[in-house]
Amino acid sequence: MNILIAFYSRTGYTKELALLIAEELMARGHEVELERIEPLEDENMWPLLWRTQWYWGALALGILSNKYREYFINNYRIPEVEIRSLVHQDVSSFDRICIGCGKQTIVPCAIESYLRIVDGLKGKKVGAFATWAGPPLKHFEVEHLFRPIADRLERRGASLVSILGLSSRYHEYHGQMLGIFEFLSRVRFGKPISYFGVHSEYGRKNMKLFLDELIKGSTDVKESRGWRRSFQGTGIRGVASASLWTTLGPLRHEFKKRFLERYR
Amino acid sequence: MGNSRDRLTVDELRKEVEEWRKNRPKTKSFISFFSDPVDRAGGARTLLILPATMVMVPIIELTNLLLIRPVLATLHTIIVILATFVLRFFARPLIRIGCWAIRGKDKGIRKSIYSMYPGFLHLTVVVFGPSLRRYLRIDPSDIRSAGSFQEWIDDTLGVEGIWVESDVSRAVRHETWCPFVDHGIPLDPTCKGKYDPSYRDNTSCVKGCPEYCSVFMRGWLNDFLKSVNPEFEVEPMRHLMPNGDEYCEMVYVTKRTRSTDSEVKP
Repeated sequence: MNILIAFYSRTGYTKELALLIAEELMARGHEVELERIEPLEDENMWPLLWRTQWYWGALALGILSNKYREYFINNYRIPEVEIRSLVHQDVSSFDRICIGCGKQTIVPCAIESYLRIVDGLKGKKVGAFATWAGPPLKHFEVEHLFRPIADRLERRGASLVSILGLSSRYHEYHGQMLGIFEFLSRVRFGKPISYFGVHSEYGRKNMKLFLDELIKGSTDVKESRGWRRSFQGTGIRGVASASLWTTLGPLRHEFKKRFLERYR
Repeated sequence: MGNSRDRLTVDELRKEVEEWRKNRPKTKSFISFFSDPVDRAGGARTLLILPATMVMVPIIELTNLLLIRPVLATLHTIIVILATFVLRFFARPLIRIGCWAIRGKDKGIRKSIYSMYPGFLHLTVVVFGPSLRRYLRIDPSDIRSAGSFQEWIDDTLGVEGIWVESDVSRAVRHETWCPFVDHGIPLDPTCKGKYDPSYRDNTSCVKGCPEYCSVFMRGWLNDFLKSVNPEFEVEPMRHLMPNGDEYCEMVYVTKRTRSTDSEVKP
């Protein structure tokens, strides 16, 4: 198979994962082409954070309400940056496409630009891989990054068939953030972040699974992850239900816990 | 996009990664907040902004979801209900005035009304159009979806019609029965005039006045379609019931799918 690996790497960790994937694919007898996605201007990490800072408050709200989180993921706009011209502008000649990036709170702006300008995506099976600092948290990491990518691919006529997210154990914003992720990893999974690393047993196993699914191309990630059900963000019913669940969702759980279960 | 680039091979990438592995970036300690001038400036600004966004964004989002959007949605719904009432109860006198103006459009007050009538119809699109577009969930890239405006008019007035062609770039609607053609019936949801001749009133019907549909109605539909997508339009009508045809034909086209002039003979 002829496979394109397009990756955007700021600090080098995604580049390393792209290389490992390319080597594994070549070992399996596939032809691999590479595409480096580069913004025209390299940015300091702080402006990157400020650009997405608006979302932090919304993310906090998303922790309180699943409905709001769905609404937020379906409706937020990802800013774009100007990227360098592509070597493979038309990807229609490739059998499979792999898109790799790091997670920058949301989908990186360069990937948003790439998914908009690249040609020939219609009917393609795409795999997406990423590196992030922490463990593969179901909503904060996996859903926030891969669901918008799946949506954008679907709009271009392609489908996301395989995903891979591994920990780089590196965070640009100082040690305290890594400490928070280390804590979350031990609380949620009972394992250190290094367990989910690129070179760990978990990483190797999941990379093989990722490539198997990519080559097979029969899995629909949106379907298998339950992302197909979309929240209706417009209309009275949608707004009313979002408003209601945003405010009453946590109260409902509290009410159930305190009253209903007592009389059961 | 900027400069063109050379192809990146796996060997080149391997060399790059080997170089990078020798000096891979390490997570900085908290001390760099104070020692590195860039981090000091960036971190200070972040620490100032972050608490504000953590508090303000949920407030703004909740205000939007709980207050602004429900109020706007309610407002749009009220406007759509109002538009339905206006169409339902004023269509008959308006058509009567329109036909009266068409029949004497060459002179006097009828000439003035004839020239002002499209402007009045345009005004209704300006006032009710945005709410109707939202209520009918019209997709600006789909012309069949834009045609649901006509479905709404037909449902409100009791006109019967079907879509004989439905595509995103071309749609054709045939209207097979219209209360204003053979018999201007009272606008009654039971359509009594269709079955009971005693309800019929031929004084206000558009029979013998096809210009009402081919000029005013088509202009009105085109006004609405332009507000959805400037590329959409209704072609000049080839079949009209007031002319004695079996049905009225509305052909919705985009600039790309428009028929050539020789095909269309209004």
